[in-house]
Amino acid sequence: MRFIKSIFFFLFVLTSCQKRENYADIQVIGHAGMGLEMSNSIFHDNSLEAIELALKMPGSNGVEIDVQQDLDGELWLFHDETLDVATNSTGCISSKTSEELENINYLSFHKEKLLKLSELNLDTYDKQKIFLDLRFWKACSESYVNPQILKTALLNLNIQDFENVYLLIPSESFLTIFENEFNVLYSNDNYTHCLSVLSQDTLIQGLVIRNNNVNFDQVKTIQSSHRNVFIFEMRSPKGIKLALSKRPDGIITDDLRATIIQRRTTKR
Amino acid sequence: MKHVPARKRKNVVKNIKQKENPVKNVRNLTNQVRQVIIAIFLFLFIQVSAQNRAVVQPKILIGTEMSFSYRSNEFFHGFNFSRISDHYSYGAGIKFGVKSTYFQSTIYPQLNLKFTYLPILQEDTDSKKIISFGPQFQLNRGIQRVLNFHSYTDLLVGYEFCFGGKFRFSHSFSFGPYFESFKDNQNKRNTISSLNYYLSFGLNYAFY
Repeated sequence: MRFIKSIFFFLFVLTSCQKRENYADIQVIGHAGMGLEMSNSIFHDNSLEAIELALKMPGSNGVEIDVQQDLDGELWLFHDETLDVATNSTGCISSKTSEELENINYLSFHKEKLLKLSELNLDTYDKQKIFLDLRFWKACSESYVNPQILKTALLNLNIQDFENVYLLIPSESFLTIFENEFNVLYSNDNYTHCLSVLSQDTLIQGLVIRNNNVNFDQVKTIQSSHRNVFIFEMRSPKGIKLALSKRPDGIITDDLRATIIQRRTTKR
Repeated sequence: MKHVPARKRKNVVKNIKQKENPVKNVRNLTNQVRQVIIAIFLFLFIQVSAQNRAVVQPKILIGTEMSFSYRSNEFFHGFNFSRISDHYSYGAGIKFGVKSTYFQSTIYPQLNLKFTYLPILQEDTDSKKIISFGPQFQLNRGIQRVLNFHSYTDLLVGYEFCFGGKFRFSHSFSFGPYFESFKDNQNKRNTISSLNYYLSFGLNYAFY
């Protein structure tokens, strides 16, 4: 009996010593809706269903979506460089007309349709952040999208308030084109390079960087210059915990439910 | 120029087409595998049906089970209790999501009810070991606190295979509709549905 009592006492001491970390200020953003290529995301990434579900999910602070431009200048949400693997079509978004793309759907269980950015009413999600990951590279023609045409297409979207819309720009040469009209985040994997770009350009709001390529001190360094840091690519509870421990401004996660849970329950 | 008969020419063209189309090759292979599996089950069924006789079945099975749920992206581990009658068994169990419960400090329990019909049931008289196989129906109901409470329901149909004496190994595969229900940011109830599958392995102890 004494042995059992001492076990209970030991467990009580062990659990009472755990301090709960407060991660409530870290924003949780769904990668391409509910996450990229995760079975528990239910719907296909970048589909209307996935984005709406992610924005409805209590605890979620927004979504990150991938934007590509078609031959007619229309903006579509699609992640891969080509349509071959994920949809019932082949080729690239950039080599197809809007009419062709309207008939394409994903090869998923729900057969979601390809979504135009204009079909997503960004003004209805006033408290949620929308990150637009702009894809400039056209794989089929091996060339870059004209950033000026892309900017015009974005301005033509008729969005009343761009305050909660952030553009993710992967190339430093395109940053200056967008930063006067939009909230711009620089997206790059090399921390040292990012630091030099951020020091030269004062209009950039922050940085989007891979979880493995940045540590706690580096996050603090960027935050000390009043810039935001968003970390992406985390799938396992271990990866999510690691990302939270770096205390970024937000994490772009592939497992939205698990990240919301982890933010609530993580202990030191 | 060497003359090739028309039929042979057709076969050559067909072979070239097949080589060029890897998707079709994979589909052919899948069909062949499916045919082999059906043949094995038919053989087993005929064999067992021919020798079917009264088998001394245990009354109760108590055991532990590990299962993987595709939609929840979660391993569940827990205990189950089954009662066995002539050619069917019914049982209940409770499992916990391993990832959520052990790695994320949030309890994710799941209640499980199942009914199995056992048309294939064979006993080895020497070792007193039993092999059973049959269709299974399952109802799973889980609850998890994400920020609000989310409830998950699965209605599944599949098969269960069981082998052993007093200690029995069991394996089941089942699939069916999956429903997730939660209250959203505006306190409105949302229900989403999809298709889910479960792959389970268990170890049971039989009480006669």
